[in-house]
Amino acid sequence: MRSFKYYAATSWEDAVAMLSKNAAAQVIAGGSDLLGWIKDDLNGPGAPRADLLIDIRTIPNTSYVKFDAAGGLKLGALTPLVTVAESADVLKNYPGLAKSALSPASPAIRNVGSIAGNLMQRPRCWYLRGKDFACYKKGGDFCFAVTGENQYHAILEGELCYIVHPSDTAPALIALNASAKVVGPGGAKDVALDKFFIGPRTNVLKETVLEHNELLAEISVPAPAANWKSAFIKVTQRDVYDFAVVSVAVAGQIEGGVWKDGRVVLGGVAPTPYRATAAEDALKGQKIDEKSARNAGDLTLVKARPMSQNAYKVDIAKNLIARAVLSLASA
Amino acid sequence: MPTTSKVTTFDYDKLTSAEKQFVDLYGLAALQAGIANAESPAAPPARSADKPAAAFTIIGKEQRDLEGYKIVTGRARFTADIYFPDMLYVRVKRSPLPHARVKSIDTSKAEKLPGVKAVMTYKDIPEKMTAGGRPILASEPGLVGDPIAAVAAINETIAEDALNLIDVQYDQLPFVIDAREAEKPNAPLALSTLKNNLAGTPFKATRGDVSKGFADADLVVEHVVDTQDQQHVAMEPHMAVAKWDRDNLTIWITSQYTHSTAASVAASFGLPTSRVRVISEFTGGGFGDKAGIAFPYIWLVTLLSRKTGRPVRYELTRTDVFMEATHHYPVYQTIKLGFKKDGTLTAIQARSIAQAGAYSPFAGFLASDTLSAARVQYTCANISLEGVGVITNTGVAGARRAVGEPSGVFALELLMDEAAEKLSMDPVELRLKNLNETGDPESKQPWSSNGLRESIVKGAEAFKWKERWKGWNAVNSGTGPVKRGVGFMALASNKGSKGPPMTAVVEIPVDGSVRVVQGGAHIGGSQRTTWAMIVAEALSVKLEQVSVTPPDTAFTSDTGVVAGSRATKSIGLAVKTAAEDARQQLLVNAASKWSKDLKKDVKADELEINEGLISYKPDASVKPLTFAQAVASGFVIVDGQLEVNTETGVVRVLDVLQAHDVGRVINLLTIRSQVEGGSMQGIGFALTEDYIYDKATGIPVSANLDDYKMLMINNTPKITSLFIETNDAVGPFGAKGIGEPALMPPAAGIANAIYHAAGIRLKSLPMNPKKVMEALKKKA
Repeated sequence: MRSFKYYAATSWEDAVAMLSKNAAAQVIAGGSDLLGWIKDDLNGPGAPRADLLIDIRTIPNTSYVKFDAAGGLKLGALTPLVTVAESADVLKNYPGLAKSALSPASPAIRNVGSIAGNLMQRPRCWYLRGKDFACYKKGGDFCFAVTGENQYHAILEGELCYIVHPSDTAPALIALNASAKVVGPGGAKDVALDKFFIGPRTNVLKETVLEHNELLAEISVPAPAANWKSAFIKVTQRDVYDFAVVSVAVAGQIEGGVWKDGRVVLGGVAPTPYRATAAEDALKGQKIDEKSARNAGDLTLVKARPMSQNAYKVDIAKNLIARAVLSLASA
Repeated sequence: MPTTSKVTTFDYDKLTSAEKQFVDLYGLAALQAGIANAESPAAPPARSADKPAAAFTIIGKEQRDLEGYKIVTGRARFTADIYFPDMLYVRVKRSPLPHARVKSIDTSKAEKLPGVKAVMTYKDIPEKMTAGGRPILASEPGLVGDPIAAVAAINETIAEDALNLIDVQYDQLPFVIDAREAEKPNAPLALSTLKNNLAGTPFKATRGDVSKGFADADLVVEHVVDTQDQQHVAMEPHMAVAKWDRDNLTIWITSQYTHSTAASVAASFGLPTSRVRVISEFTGGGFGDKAGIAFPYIWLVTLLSRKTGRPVRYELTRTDVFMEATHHYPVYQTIKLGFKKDGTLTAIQARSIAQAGAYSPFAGFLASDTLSAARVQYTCANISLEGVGVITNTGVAGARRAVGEPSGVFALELLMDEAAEKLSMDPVELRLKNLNETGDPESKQPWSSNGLRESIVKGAEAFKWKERWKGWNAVNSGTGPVKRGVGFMALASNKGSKGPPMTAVVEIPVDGSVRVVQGGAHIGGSQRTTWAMIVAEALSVKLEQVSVTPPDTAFTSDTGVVAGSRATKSIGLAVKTAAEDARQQLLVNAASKWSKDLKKDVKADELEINEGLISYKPDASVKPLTFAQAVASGFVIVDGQLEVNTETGVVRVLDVLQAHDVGRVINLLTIRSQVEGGSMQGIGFALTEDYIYDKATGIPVSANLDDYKMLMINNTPKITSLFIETNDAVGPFGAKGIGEPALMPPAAGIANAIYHAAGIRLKSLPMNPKKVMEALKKKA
């Protein structure tokens, strides 16, 4: 690994100030993604080579799970995934989130990987992560996946760039209507997680609304309403150390087997976590059964635009939506 | 019935030393030599002294690795544990282009970086010096990842920083990365030194008249089958430390064959082998990729150490390994079989294109090994087989656990399964009907032992095949999205041959302990423990009394490579022979001592050894002597069950049974480990591992362990191993090799079980969710 400078931040304000002063700085939390990024020696406008790492693990009181029935759930940015997955409050009130936090990589990574890091990790694309491919994010004007090896790439909302969003917890949190507390030079603000991620048509060089000197400090999830259920399913080739081929998170208010309200969010299919509003609209007021669940999947994937090698993901995504919706009815 | 056979392979005398090594290792020359005197078949060899398994005191039992405690407590010294205070660390700048010419290299900035002690490019490599034909630093890179410049610095970070300061300009040259394209006459040349991309003479084998065989057939089945590019991914990455002391060179290296490295480096540097010492105390897995192969990195550390006068260490990153090390090569096969209604095979026709990559020293033989099963496994009067190796601008092809056989047997056994269905036969019966139980059909060499029929019958019985298979009507009969199925395959492997060099010395020092001096590597199969068990059994001593040296070329002789499933059979035979010689010398010494002490003529054959004590059989009152006192004077079958999730395409293997004819079990614990490890590597071959190139640029996209998917412990199914002991005529105590055969069965077994479960026949590896979902869609 090449050399870099290191700075241990003492507070969010300190970290923001350091970022403001150093254009070539990057923030390190668990480091499981960033260190691989540095080892791969990637560089370009959307993949800046970090000369300075600002460590936010040294900021006090940033790892916590707080829950109360009225205010809902607060997760500190640096909370390890394992802590989220094993929290009794999360398991009881947000089972879909607990399962999604237990899905990334392996126990070793989940011990060091933080919840904010899981949301902020960069996309998986072997062209983005190969230093010799000058793709859009690295300053080029070409997406190698379009005519290349695209079996894992986006089937929805690809434009210019066909990366897929790799996070397991992002779809689960969006399904639960979570929001992010963002700290920056002007103080703190809340951003709905549904609006937090941006696709290549908005800005091909980054994946979130955060500016260079803004940080994700806390995640809030509203208190669960009566009869809210949630689930998360992820398809991988080998169970561990594997990003989703397709994942789906569902959360819904189910009364008498009828879908009153809820969200369906896909991971691994689009440059951002993909909110399947077509499925949500179709399910509203419907009795959950094989037919309505299949219909929700089919309607969502009407918009799919697969490339030469990834049409199989369309079928998996349809099946997965149906499977997840049905699981809520029987949960 | 008179049949004519012809096998065209290669001219052994014209081979390079690296090629000869490969040919020797896999017994390929024996095939050719065998053809010459094929007129009169040899008599079947006599079996080794038939001794029931219970008659042995040490072999056949479960024995933990005698040195396992060192490994699990971190005390075992691997190459990565070698450090010197003034040592330098190497990083290498690699070609981003699959084929190019270096126009210019500017290393001046890198050389000025504090801490950098040496920078090398192709201009610094002595003229004509190569690593077994590969450029040590390339001026015309032939694949992405070819080494271009090397830096030695006081630590790895500085060396890595220096790489970014080296400016290389290239002229891009045309390239080709698919063997099927490269084979065509108008294809771009993979290297400018080539006349065409064909590697060596194509392999051809004919027997009888194949067109007549198909004309006589009631059923003809045909497939186009392809298997993927893989890397071995031994847990320990390649690395070496080189240290010159005046004219003496020492290399610590992770290796399956130190003597080969010593010989090739010595020849290349013009040194006598006595001045080159190569040490590999422990090796963290090899699978054929560390079989003494000449890699550029070995020459780089040696040259950089000579240039700087300091010890130099290069530990390859995983991506470096993917790019520089050898690959299990992709094979593109067309295969066609003809059958009579009763299941009799009438014709086999196959063509195999092996993708050799750039520079493979083995290129000419890669294709022939993929056709071994088609030629040998079943009795068939009419065959026509052709194999070509093709040079491409991709990873260098080499030998990975069983070389080409896994790809060949996958294709053959897929087709046998399909034929069984079309003939309405039990797939087990179809194999039994056609088994070749006599020997090599071309060389007429009989099998040294053959337990294939017994393996199939006992394996099917243990798996409860009939009960679980339920006939062809059971295909795709499950309800719900997750379908279960079972599959079967059979395999006769050419691996595990006996071949030179086989040397060992058994020393009994004055304290009466037993030391086995040999040069074979300890690569994860507990090889040293196996050899100790053989020696202890042969000498009738306790296992604890025996120690085995690590490979160090300074004081061991060349006993060949630990690869080709030969460690137990060939090296085992060497240590057994040495032990038997030592035993005889001990008895002679004891007899002469007792002749003097007892004042009568005591003969050596009146003595026996039990647990390390020599006793005089005719008179039990004579106090036994301690050693100190005396000195002071190969085949397989597999069944498996799995689940196919028809909504996600994910295949989960649940239950694997492998039944192998192993001749004789030496260490029951480690032989099971071989089958279990082989099963997992075979399942990875079948389902997940895939080294993929971007076609437009020739750059590999899965040269890391995230995208190149090795299976994990949680993917391990129930694995049952069944050992058939046929007491081989050649191996020590009747043992034969197992390391490679254990990898081969899963792929075809899984493909056949997927068909049984979901009614889809997959003909391309790996059988990942993409291919399963695509096949299901096509079927629907």
